[in-house]
Amino acid sequence: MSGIHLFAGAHAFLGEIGALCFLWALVEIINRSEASLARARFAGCLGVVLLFASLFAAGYPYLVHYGPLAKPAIKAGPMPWGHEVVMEAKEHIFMFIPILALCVTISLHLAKRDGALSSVYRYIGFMCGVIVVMVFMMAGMGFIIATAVRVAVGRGV
Amino acid sequence: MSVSYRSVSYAGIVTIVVMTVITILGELVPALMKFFTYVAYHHWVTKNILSVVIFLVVLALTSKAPSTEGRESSKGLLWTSVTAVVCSLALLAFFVIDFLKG
Repeated sequence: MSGIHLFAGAHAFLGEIGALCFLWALVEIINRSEASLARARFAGCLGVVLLFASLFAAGYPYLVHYGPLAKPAIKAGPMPWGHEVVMEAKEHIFMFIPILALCVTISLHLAKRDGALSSVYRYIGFMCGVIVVMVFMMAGMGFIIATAVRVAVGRGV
Repeated sequence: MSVSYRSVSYAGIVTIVVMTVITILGELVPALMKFFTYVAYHHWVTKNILSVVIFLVVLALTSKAPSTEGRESSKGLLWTSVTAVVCSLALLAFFVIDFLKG
């Protein structure tokens, strides 16, 4: 396995586990007690680390492989919108996710003083849900981009 | 310094809106894109560094203000999520329109 594949795989894996951390935090918030909120705070911290790690892991294959090799192939292939729309949107929307993750984690720690009945958990839970949906949207967009490369290079192989 | 829901919300909203605006401006103004590329080898790297810097700076600046915590203040977190969704859709729409224009 080359470094490119290792980092690309790590990017997807870390991102999806990061999303599951926020799904975990959401479940703990829905069924909240002092103990479950402590687990939600742990899940939030872990999720932030994993999502930033996913962002770092994306850097190497994106800069070294995607830009010089995959991007020109996609643009010359039958699915140029795979880069022009999907990749352009993905690489920029992804930047919002670690920021939202930071907001959730900081808010979960702030909410500790308000008690488990605080209404703030509704807003934090909603933000967790947005993170989960956005990360899985990123995974779907990644699949479209990979398909665009395959149809461009191997004509559907 | 006292971090509050309000300061977290402001930091999140300002970061997301600024990143959306500079992304769209960068696509429309080649000189700006060149500048982002010049700063940290690639525009994407520059924007990612910038997003963390903006978040931390706005968080630090707004955390200096006296905290008036409460339901209204925590509602800002809802607006942060809404901003993220709206800005994501705005970026997607921009790239679709840009592609269709050719």
